[in-house]
Amino acid sequence: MQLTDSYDLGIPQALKKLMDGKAKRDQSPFTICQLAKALEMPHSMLVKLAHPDPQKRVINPRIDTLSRIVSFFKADGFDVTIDDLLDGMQHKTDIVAQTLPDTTQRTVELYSFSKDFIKIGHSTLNLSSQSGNIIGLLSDEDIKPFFKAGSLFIIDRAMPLENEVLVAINLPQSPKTQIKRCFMKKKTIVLSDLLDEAENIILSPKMHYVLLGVVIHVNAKVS
Amino acid sequence: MLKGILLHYLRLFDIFLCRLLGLEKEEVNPCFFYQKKGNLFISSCSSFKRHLTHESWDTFSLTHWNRLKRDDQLKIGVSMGKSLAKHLVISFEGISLEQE
Repeated sequence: MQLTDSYDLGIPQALKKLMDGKAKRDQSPFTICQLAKALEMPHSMLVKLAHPDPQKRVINPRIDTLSRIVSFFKADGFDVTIDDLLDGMQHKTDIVAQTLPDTTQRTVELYSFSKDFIKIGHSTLNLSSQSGNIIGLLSDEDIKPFFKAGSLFIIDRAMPLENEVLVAINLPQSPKTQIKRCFMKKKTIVLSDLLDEAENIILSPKMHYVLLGVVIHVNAKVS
Repeated sequence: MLKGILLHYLRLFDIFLCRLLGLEKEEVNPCFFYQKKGNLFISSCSSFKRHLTHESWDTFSLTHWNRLKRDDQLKIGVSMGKSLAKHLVISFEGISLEQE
């Protein structure tokens, strides 16, 4: 197990992220008290673990304490390990270890991001997907925080929705197609902003939305 | 003047030695991708330096992108996609748009 230089900062950070994530997904607050009750642990133990003041914080928790926290959140649907907890949930992706997917050249019909869904042409690029039902959306403005104007989003219209996919969706409150992160709990679909600034949106059948599909590929512009 | 000549020859010797030992190009090797406070960061190691440097994706792409090997660029795209969402791959190809 790798320890970061400041693993004592990692645990409070990770706990906060997990609890905030759970509160956001479940659309109800989740407190340290509730976590302590669920884990059948003293409330004071968790408070000391997550204390913002380093002088009052426990910096050498027992491994079984961390295991119980990880098991609880795992059972609740979060993908977390003890390493993540120690790391502050930084979720590092190893670049060197990546294997490049096999790709084939595909021609994709391109549409604008406006709700009118105007066809603007087509483009050929290398894609790993074999799906027959794909379209491209060409962004004419930055899609914060990651994608510059001119980035091309490839949408698979046939892919079923899953937790933590990006989706392209037309919502009543916006004149343009939006890219959102999708979370699913049982049959409820929750959309979160890529910037995490806007409020989450719970999709309901009464809302007049059009879900275009899952974003499977982005040909991004480099700054 | 003598100092200048000495420095000149020292520089030439340094260039020769670096070429001999294969220490010419400073390479940047990207190692990890991660998200922090809603932004993307990349940890990389450079030639002749022992520590990892952590930069935002915007800074990294501005300063190092064109010096990277193609395979590294492709792997960055795969990692970036995995960092952001499930089933997502990111590429940085120059593509042509054929308008209707």
